[in-house]
Amino acid sequence: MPPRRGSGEKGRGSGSEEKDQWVVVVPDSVTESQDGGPTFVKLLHPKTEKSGMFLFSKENQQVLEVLAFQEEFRSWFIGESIQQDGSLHMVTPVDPLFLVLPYLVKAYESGMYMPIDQLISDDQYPECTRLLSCINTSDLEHICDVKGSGDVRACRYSEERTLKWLKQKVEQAADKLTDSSVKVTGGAQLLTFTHSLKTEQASRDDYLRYACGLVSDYISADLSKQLTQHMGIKLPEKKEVKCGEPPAKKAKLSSEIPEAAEDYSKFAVKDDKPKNTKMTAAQRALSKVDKTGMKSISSFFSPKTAAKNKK
Amino acid sequence: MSVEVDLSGVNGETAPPKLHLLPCEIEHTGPAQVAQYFTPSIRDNGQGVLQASFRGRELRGGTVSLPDGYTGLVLKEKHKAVSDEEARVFHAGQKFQEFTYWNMETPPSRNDALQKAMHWLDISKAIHAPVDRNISQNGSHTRVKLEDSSP
Amino acid sequence: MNLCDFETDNTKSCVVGSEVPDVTKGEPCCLGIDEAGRGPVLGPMVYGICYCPLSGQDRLKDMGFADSKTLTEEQREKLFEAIAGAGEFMGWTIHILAPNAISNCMLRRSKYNLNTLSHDTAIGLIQRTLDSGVNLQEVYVDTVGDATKYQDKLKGIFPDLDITVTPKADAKFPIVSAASICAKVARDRAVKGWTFFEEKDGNSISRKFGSGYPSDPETKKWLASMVEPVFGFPQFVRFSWSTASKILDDKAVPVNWDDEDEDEKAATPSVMSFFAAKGEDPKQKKHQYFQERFLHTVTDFGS
Repeated sequence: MPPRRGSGEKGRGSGSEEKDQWVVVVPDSVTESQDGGPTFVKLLHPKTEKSGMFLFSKENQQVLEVLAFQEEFRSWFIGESIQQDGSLHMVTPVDPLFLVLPYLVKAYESGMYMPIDQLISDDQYPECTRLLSCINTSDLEHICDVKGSGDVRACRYSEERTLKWLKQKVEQAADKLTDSSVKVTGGAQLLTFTHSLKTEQASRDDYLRYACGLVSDYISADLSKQLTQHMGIKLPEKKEVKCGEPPAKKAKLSSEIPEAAEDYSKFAVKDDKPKNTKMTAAQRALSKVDKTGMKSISSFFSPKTAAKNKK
Repeated sequence: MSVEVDLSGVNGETAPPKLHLLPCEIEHTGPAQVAQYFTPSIRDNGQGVLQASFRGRELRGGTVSLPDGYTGLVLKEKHKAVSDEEARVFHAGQKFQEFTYWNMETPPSRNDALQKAMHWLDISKAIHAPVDRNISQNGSHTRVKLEDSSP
Repeated sequence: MNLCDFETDNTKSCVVGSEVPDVTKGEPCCLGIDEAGRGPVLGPMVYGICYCPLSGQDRLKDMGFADSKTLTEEQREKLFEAIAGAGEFMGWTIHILAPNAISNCMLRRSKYNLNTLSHDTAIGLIQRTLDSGVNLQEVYVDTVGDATKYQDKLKGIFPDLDITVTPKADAKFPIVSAASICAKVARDRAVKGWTFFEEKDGNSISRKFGSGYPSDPETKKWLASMVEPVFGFPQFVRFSWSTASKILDDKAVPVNWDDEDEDEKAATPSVMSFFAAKGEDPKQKKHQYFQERFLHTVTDFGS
């Protein structure tokens, strides 16, 4: 959760004694069974290598990821009450293979084939064993070499299989992005303005690059780098950040922040919504005079968003 | 730390709560007289745009329906866990299928971050749905052909 | 004067008027404009216009119009009856600006001040009268602001009209005085008959709000007693008046909007966090797709 702003100074109302409420959106399947409800647990997030919140449906049949829509300056009215935190939690199924990959990759160092239940165990995230019931054993073959059969199967991470599998993920995602007309080049999708902008038709490569970036949000930086190479995705020097950070990982941070920021500025300028940015009065005045002024403002924006992830 | 979700209240008799996502941060969590002070100020312009006022500010809003296959829940923690070891329990209230979100004086549009964020529910499927086995392994491994396993 | 439309929904502004007398469509006419309820922190502001043939000036004088502020409420009601009774030669229209509409305008992100709102309302009423077929020739407008600038603005919009903008026009020109009576009567009635939609489920609201002027001790007391910690005031109150907003700063729950000025923001650490975030681990940064949609990985259900 991001730090809530403004609650310190005036001190009124944050009401720690009041009961918090969370607004969540879940697939119907999660609510269908009422005996033995779902459970939120923390698992190792494959990209951040920190904890992330996940939801296991009843009897661990499915694992879902929890993202929160957290725009600044939002609160909820929930019936006859107020929830200061205006987050909207979106709970969506996640492919459990993404979540077991870090364990397989780590075990691969030993070169040994091991039973999957020995591979998936983590003192820091003991709940990870629940993943075992979400995975169809045969699905493991997308990312592992498997020896034996039935109960005596042993697995070992396969880079080759994994990359093939990820490539398909990227292609699936690229298809979806294309179908959904998500704007993958430059700024954000702005249907109402498209007639006034030069219609730059995104190429298949643009979609693949963007999709690779999305998929890279579920894998390690190293794997993302391998995937990019495997798929022959050309990342222009400054675009590298978009498709997972690995190639830019060692680059100076300063070279990467303005890149993300630039995309944002396009978004902000076209959208013309100051609410997406946080500006001082002077900056706001400047942006009114000359909208290119927002580019400099936008440099505040990207790290800020990142800061939210940090906590 | 895990949090169990108690779904026993999901199909209750009571109507789901009216949800409004406001374009401001109210430094308060707790009861409020929404039905007295806010709900009566809502007007429908007939073209899908709602208008209301909060603290003298004009708000423009719209109703967001959850996509098919998704359900909304409000989770409440009735008793705070006293220690880290104690399991937390969230109680789900009545399901909801829509909510209202408000901008400041700008009418809602599909360029609003919220509307775009809602598409994640759909986009995420493409990333997380199982891939087609046959293509994936390119016949490199003996395997029975399976039905399309996407949901 | 039928204020039904406004009383049905007092959150919105509303225009009410008499029939247009036939004689005003033929003979050249004069029109007066005045406002009522500009100063109060409560209730609507009302714009009134009155028009009649230039040839009827003497009859107008005989009716005994004077500055509405020097008249008692009773005298004003009587004079309004006289205006209504002279419907074959005089017409009137009022534009009621709901207190909520005033607050909304003044608190908009792109600020819209009270003067501009006043001018636009007056312009709208002149246009409306022209559109209804009245043969307008002379227009007299009362103003509290810069008369010359306002007059130039109106002349620019209505070059064919002979326009006079002057302070105290209601004391100088009977037609403006008649307009001010229409405005004041409407304002008095709207305030008296105010329906508080907030008065629901036994939530009762005192009517002891005094004159509505910020300097009136009774008004001040009423405002202080009305504060609802989250919602502030009933919509009868003009939130945009500093008298009202100061009380809320003091007594209500703070509410933060994204367009508030910087001293408000300086109180929060968020500005600094922009800089602090610079050295952030790129692993923690989500893809552009998520950033643009303000989607974050949830790591905890804090409380």
